[in-house]
Amino acid sequence: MLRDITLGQYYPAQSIIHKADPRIKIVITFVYMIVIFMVKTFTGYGMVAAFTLITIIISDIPLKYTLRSLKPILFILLFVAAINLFTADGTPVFEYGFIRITYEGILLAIKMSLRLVLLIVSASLLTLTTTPILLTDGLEKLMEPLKRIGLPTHEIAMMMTIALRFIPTLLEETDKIMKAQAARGADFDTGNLIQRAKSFIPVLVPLFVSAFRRADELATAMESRCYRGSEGRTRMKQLKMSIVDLKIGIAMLLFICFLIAIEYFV
Amino acid sequence: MNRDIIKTKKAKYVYKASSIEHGDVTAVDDVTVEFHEGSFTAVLGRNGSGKSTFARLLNALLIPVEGVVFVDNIETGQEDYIWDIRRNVGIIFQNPDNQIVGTTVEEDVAFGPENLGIPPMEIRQRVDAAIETVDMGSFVKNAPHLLSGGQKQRVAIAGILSMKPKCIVTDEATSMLDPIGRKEVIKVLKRLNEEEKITIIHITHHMEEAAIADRVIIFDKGKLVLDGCPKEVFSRVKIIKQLGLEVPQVTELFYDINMEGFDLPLSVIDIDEAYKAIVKRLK
Repeated sequence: MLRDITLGQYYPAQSIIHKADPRIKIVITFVYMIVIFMVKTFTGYGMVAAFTLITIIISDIPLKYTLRSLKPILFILLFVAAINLFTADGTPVFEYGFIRITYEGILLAIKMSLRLVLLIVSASLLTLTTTPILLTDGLEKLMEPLKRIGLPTHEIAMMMTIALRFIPTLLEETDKIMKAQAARGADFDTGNLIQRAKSFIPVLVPLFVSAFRRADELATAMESRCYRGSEGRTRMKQLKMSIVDLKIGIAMLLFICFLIAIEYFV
Repeated sequence: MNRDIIKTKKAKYVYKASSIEHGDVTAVDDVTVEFHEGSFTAVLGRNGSGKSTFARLLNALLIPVEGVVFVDNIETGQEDYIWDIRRNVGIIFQNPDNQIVGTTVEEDVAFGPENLGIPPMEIRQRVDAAIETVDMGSFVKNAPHLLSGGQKQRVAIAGILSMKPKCIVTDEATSMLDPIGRKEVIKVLKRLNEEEKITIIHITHHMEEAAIADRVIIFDKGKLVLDGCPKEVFSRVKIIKQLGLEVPQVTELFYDINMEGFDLPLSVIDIDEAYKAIVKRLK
């Protein structure tokens, strides 16, 4: 059952977006999300939505796959829409008892949900087109300036890499322990929520013990392989900005300028 | 005569007591031994005989409390040279899962040279060469958890090879593997020893693996008790049994036959030799 969990949500393909430098993708996504917050008019929303859609098409990822990332936030989406729908002041469209829906409320609800959808889709586009390891490398490089103010950027990236490396191993182990406990009569599937949560204690305890042992052994192995932190360390794979990355960056910049011009000056 | 790559003189290591009930444990006691460059040594001993501690003394993961360990004429206690020592003596550990750091085979093999600060281009060459040497060429981009135990250990060997070591110590690296994985690992170690002239110190529980070494040393209670070529060592069947170890199956068989009043040579450790010895006897 635990084998179904996929690591991250990387979707392998060969598009230019997949091949782009992770640093440029992270920065663009970040800026793009700010832009989404700045958009106010429906024209703006239409443009952002169209731009996102084009990006999805270029990235070679099936639209259905992209929209799947919306599933977990469906409830929040409805909640936000409902709040905006029922609380906004303005010209009433529909009135029944204390329920009052205004014209402005409907518009606001649509805008807010659209904003959320766009935010989530653009963020998940980053993780869909970038492998976790490249994402980590990109983050490490981007955070490098923060080293000067004492942020242990290399250590953070190393921890993320090791976590990524060990997630499948620990999942396998969890599976094994669950089977071992089930063979001894443990019951994971019946009872109410609290009972079920309790039944996982005999799984978690050995899992933690083993994780600590693994950590200890891994640390020894790393030390034995000359690991001494970031000092004097080189990387085999160097991140390289290509002409394509530059073009993507410029295209993005132009789009943002165009959008702001339309939003605020037209 | 080859020079000694590793030398220990009266090396002793004591684990400090973790609580009052348990006293200090002397894991390695007064061990003086040297390993020639290019040799293949098997280290045997019961659980808790100090083999693993001994391995950790050889690349400065542990520093002896008394006595000294020299690696390539550098004393392991000298902190300034610690990285030279660790680069020269790589250890393969028992659990294949807990020594792979990278998320892909090539990333993991690159880990060592990256730590040494080698230029990226050269790392690439070293990584490719090391992966090829251990026959993992078709798994370069694979995630480690999808590999078999034997494959993982070969990746671990490649991870050491990319640092261009002079010596590889395996700390029971085959004990968690199935027979096929064990054979793969032994084959690689043997080839590295013969072709690349890398010194191998192979700690193991399997007598068949010890039989292919040039030399066997046996630890008991932290002390080095037997040292010699496999034939010499295994012919002392009685002592080995007293130490709680076994001898190769044919040696055991000859020993039992001899108990019945025959006189077969106990220095026989493989089946071909045993066959010849029996034929000779029957003539």
